[in-house]
Amino acid sequence: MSEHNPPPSLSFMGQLPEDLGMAHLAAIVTSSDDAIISKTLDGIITSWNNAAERLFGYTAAEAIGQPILLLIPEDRLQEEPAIVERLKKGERIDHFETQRITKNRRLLDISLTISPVKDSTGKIIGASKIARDITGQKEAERIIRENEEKFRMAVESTQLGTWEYNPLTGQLVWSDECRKIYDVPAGLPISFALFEEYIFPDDRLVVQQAFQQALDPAGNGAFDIQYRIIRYSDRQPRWVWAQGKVYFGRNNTALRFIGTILDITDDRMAKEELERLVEERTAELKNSNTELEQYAYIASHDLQEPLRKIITFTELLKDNLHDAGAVEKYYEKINYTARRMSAFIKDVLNYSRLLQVDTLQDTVHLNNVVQDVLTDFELLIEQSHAAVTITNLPVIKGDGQQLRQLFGNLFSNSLKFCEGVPEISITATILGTSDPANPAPLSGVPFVQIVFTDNGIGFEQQFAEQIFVAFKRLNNRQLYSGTGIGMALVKKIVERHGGTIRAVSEPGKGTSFFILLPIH
Amino acid sequence: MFNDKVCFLIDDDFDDQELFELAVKKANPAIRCVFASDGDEAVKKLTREESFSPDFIFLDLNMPRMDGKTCLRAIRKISRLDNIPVIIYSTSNEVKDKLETKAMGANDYLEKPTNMTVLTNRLADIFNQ
Repeated sequence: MSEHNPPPSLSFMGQLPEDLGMAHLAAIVTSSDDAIISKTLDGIITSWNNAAERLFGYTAAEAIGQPILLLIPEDRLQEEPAIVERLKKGERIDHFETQRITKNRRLLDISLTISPVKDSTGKIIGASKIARDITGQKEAERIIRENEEKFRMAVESTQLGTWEYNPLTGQLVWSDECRKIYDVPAGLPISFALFEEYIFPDDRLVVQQAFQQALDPAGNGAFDIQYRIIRYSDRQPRWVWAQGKVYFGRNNTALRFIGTILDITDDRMAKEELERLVEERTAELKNSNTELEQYAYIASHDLQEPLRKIITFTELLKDNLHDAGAVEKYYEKINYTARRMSAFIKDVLNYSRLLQVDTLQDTVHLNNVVQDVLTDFELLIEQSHAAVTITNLPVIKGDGQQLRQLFGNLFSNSLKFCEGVPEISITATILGTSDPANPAPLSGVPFVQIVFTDNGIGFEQQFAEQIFVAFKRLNNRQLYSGTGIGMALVKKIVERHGGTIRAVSEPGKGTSFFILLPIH
Repeated sequence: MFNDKVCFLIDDDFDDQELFELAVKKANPAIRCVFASDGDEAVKKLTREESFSPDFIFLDLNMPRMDGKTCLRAIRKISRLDNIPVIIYSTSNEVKDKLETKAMGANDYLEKPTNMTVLTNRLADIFNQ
């Protein structure tokens, strides 16, 4: 305090206990952590304590006698007249948060309490200001505000709903995002009963159990569960992931239960779709592995067999060169076995080509395909006096060469496994999308059912599946020629065209093949 | 004694039947061969003809209608054949087939050889056991 400018008497002095003298009071002011400044009504600084010096950077000598405007930033100069006006009316200004400027031009956030100072007659002669630096507090508030904003943005961007349940009152509060997940109309009051009602019935018990477990003071208060809700607007089930935490007070009383909720339906769907795809691919791989195993078996067995015979017959031929009959016989056997082996290799190759994946997009006139096949078998049909009847066949999308092979193998099969005069018929029926016999009515694709019937030797129905397995033969290879691949090829071709094939047969009565093919 | 011995070959391949019979005759002319062309035919013959009691059964694996393994299982269920040796006679040289058939009750495994002398010698060994 400046000696030449003694502090004005403070109006509250009269209320102080008598033992607090002037010196004592001055000591309190001096040692206060808050800046305490007094000024005249004209705004001239009349006292300046140590804390004011620390806060604003001016010494008492520099500040006293200077206008208070020294401390006010330019954009806040209008605050002073307003303050003075209120002081003149004898009003006190409490915790006015503003900004002041230091000697080195640094802006401070401060909280001001300003009281009028009266003389002994009660006339207002000035003011005392207590300024507290709240820059740190303001900074902390700003950080909190920013963090809250960041959190809100993060929550919004993740579409994470938040909720708070009061275990004491039973009140439940949902964030906007939470309401969006349930798709409840604006203004609909949220209650715990509503929350419970919109849990998918099958999941209700498990959610209730998890809820109770979280509220159990013996546990850790954690809540973490994926379950289904029923969306309010369309009553569609949706998958959600809810997480939360219960806060316990004294006596283990649950005070707050807060948490988040996230709609994970799309993730679940994607995951399920992925699992389905993986399963499908695994099944495909298994199939392809089985086929590869079959090939390994062919290499070790089916191809070994004719070779072994050729070697044995060659040896026998050599041992019996003096016997013309034996030479002729073994020569024939060697020749026949070698031819069979050649046919077999060709069929294996054809079959393996069908395992390759490519699109079948040619427009194929099945009438033309069957006519081509009939031309191929012309001689055989003529020799066996076979009767062939064919109804009109449709046009489909596919691979013409493969379809020719399909009908070729069926004809070859029927002509081969026949003991009398062969009778072969081919009929076609279009199955519309609403036809109950259509195997895939939902796909909106019409199918054609082709029935290929013969009057051959047939087989017992129990072998109906076996005939389509590659390298399985129902009949003795010496009685009926063939490689055991023909019908497997037929099935593979049908499947590659998105169709199915089944056989119905009876020994001695003939066989019917029912082929379903999509007409794209 | 040998006049009574019967060797039952179950094999769908007529060439193999013929070659087998040639080798059997060389190995022991007193043994007679009986054939079945697949497992189904063989099992029917063994179950329906009680008087048919072969001394050796040779069984191919890859056959139509009923394969060798299914046939072996069926044979091993016929109690009167408990002491009759069943010898697998196959082109397959897979260890898996050898182990599986042994576990199913096959007594021996004879891989179809390319050499008639080898086959004759192997058969002679089996007949003398």
